[in-house]
This record gives sequence, structure tokens and C-alpha cells, in this order.
Amino acid sequence: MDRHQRLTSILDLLSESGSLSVEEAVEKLGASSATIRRDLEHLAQQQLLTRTRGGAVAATVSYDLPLRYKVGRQAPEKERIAQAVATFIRPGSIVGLNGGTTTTNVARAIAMHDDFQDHRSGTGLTVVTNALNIASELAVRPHIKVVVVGGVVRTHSYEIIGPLAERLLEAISVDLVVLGVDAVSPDRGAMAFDEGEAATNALLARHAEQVMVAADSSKLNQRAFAHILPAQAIDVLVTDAAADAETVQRFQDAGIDVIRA
Amino acid sequence: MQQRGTRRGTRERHKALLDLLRQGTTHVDELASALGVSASTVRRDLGRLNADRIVARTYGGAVIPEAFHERPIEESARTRLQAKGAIAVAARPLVSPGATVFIDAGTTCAALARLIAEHDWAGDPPVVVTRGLETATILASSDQVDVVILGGRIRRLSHGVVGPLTDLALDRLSFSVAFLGADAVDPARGIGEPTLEETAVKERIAAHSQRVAVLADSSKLAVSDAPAWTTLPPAWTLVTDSDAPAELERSAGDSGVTVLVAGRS
Repeated sequence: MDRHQRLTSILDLLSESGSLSVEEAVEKLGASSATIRRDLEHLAQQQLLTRTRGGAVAATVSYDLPLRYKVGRQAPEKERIAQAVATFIRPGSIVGLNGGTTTTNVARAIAMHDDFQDHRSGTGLTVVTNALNIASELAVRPHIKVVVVGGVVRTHSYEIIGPLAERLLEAISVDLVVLGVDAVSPDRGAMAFDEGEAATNALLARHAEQVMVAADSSKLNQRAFAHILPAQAIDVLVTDAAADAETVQRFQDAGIDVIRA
Repeated sequence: MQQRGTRRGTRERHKALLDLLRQGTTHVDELASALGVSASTVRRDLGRLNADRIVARTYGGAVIPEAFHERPIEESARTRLQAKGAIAVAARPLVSPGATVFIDAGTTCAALARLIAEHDWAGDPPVVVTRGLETATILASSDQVDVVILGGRIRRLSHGVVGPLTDLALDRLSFSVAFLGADAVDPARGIGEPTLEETAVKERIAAHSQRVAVLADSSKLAVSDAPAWTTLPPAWTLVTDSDAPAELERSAGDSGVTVLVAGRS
């Protein structure tokens, strides 16, 4: 497990249970206690957690997490996808992020990336999002300006949907939108289970210069109820190494650049 | 010689008293017990320190007025929880079934949001509009209440949205009551905030509301000054806790402000 993975795992453990002792982290992550303490210091300096006597507590005000955020450790593929997306993003740019586990990972990768550390020198980022949890995680970072779109907050989810977002999106510029999806295929484009989410995701994408879909290989060539965007509207797909060559080729034939993380 | 000794003793006791106040012991009986003196001695000391404007009297004792200091919401979520909970309980009845209300960012407003989310509205829930991430998230857990969040730029410490992007949504909305949080509050001046951005958004919200209720625990009353003040429309309501200064209701009345003290009937 490399350092990035270990830091992410620490944050995941914290979001599951709210607090973490050094011993637990040593046991679960297989690192020395000196390493864990250094990691905790590093994350505390970035205000991603608060140090306590024997470990740490989650930095954000804790509240009920939707079930999908509680489920176990994040898959390593999503972590690699998140790192690839973070590397793609230009410092100083304006990035849109919708909700979901993949984009939540992207948000964390952005938060910890060394390239986006200083707003004044123009390397900080502006993130526009419709996900409350992403907004909360990024709001504490001094070098990231966070804008949340307006709208109705869906029950039991972290997502803001509805036409109110349009007023805000019309007033700003977005360089790149990164969309998490439930399914993506070269013929149907990007899809979501919920039509309300799909409509807001489409709104986010429509106001962006460049559209990126971040989806692990299990979502490729799948179908879901509501269409977000046709394939022609997607510029880049970031997926994991398990995506087979034929599928990748079909996406490329549809005019989509593919990055396999 | 006897008098000088007494004065030195009094000075030392005043110093010990201030140390205790700083550490969070604020009630007369606790102070008396810690100092090994009578309650009336403590009251006399507090009267003196108050006259010298070093402490502010509260209902049961005193606090040292703080310089304005905006805390991150993570920190304020761990302080004065009982007072905030009591304020939320006192404020909840101001929300009528079926009404559209505004609830601000911050932990006291979040406590109110929690009560609203847990309440059984018998088929006629309010609609809540908010500018706070925590308020929105708490209400998102309710099957009954619809919550709308205003868009805009999120402020790092308070997690509340501000700015011209927020105004875009506000234009279309109107509230029967707006519950506003505060970093400082003064019945004569309104709500104290760290920047003009907050005062701007709160003034706009107040302008769209039939009634304004400020939810502020008594520590916000003991803040000496604030960088920016939100002017509120006349006849607003302040909901605070029972540690508020004894003369608050009178001085608030002079400004046309109604005071609701949580925990007192």
C-alpha cells in the first residue's frame, strides 16, 4: 500500500467510525506506528482530521452517511481512477464534480494533490459541485474555492438536484466537469439510475468546456434508466486497467479519449 | 498596613476569579466554592469587575467578554451543546406546518434542523431553505421535510454560502420566518459577522422574511465588537439560553427586540 492509498484508507476509516486510534490504524493498514503518526500529522495540517491523544477524529461535523458511503474500503480501482483524474486537472482551473463514490474519491485526491496548493499563485482550484459531502470535505481546504449549486436536496442522499442549479451555472464558467455515472457505453453515452440526478448532471456538463466521465470497468457497456449525455458530448473516459481492449477501442471510435488507470 | 494587605488580598482574589472565569467556571456558587469565600464576596467582586468593564454579568455569574473570533464549525460543534439544544427546542414552535422557512448555517441552526427533521408533521411539513451544508445534510435525512439549499460560494469556517451567486436564488424566494445564526449579537445593533459578505446575505434573507428569529447562545452576547454588523428589520426575536445577562430583556425591549430565553418559562 503506498502513501496515497494509506492516507485515503485513514480517511475512509475515519468516515466510517468517526474516530481512529493509532493502534487500529497500525493493525488495519500494516504500517508502523511512527508512520501512522506522521500520516495523521500530515492530514491534521491539512485540516482533514483532528489529532487526539491516541489517534484522530474526523474533521467534518459528523452526520448520517448514506449507506453507499459506509460500505467497506474503497476499491483500489476507484482510487487509481481518482489519482488519474487529479493528475489530468490543470492547476488554477474550474472543475465541476457531481456526486457518487468515484467523484468523492476524486475530491479527496484533489484535496491532497501537491499541485493545487496555492490560490494566490494561481495554482489553487475552484470546484463546483452538487454533492453536499464533497462540498463539506473540500470546504476546509484553504487553497480550494468551493461553490455549491442551488437546488433541492434529495432525501437520504448527498445530492442537490433540480432547475435552480441552472441560474448559478449560467453565471459562471467551468473548464472541466468530472461525472460519476451508473453506466456508460459508446452507443448510449452516460446514464444514471435516477432521472433527477441525470438531469442535473446534464446541466453541469452542458456548462463545461470539457466533459470527463470517471467510471470503473464494471460500468462500461452497461445500461441504466436515465440518459445523462450522448457519447458525442463526452470528451474523455477515465476507467481502470481491467477494461478490455475491444471496449476501449469502441469508445475511441465514438470519439472519446480513454485513460486506463 | 491592614488595609494594604486587604487590597492585595482582594487583587489576588480578583486575579484568581478571572482565571476561573477563563477556564469556564462561570456560576457564583462554583466560584465561591473554588475560592473558598462566600457567594456574596464573589458577587461583590463581580460587581467591581463589571463596573471596571472587565467582566460581563450573566444570569448566574459572569463571563469575560471575548474579542471577536470566528471559529471553524467543527470546533463550535463541540461547544455549548446544551445551550444550543435548549435554544433549538425553544425555537421549534416558531415553525408552522406547511410554512416555508429559512434556516441558517452554523451549529445552533443545525440543532433546530435536527428537531425539525425528527418531528412528525402529520402530513403538513414545512419547506426549509438553507445556506448551510450541515443544515442541508441533516434535513436530507427526513422523509417528510423538503430542503432547498441556496447555491453559492462556501465559506471555509462557517460552511455557509455567500456571494452574488447566492442572490440569484434568493430573488425568487419568500419566508414566513428566517432563523439566523450569529457570531455576535447586540439587540441595539443586530448580528455581528466576520465580513460584509455574511451581513449582505443575511440582510437579504431578512428582507424576504415576514419574521426574523436570531438563534444565539449567551456567549455571543458577550462578544465585545464585530468586524461587520447586519442591520435587521425592527421587531426581531432573539432566542438565547438562560446564561444570558439579567438585564438583557430590558435592554432588548428598548430596541423593540423580543427575547425568548430557553429553559425559562
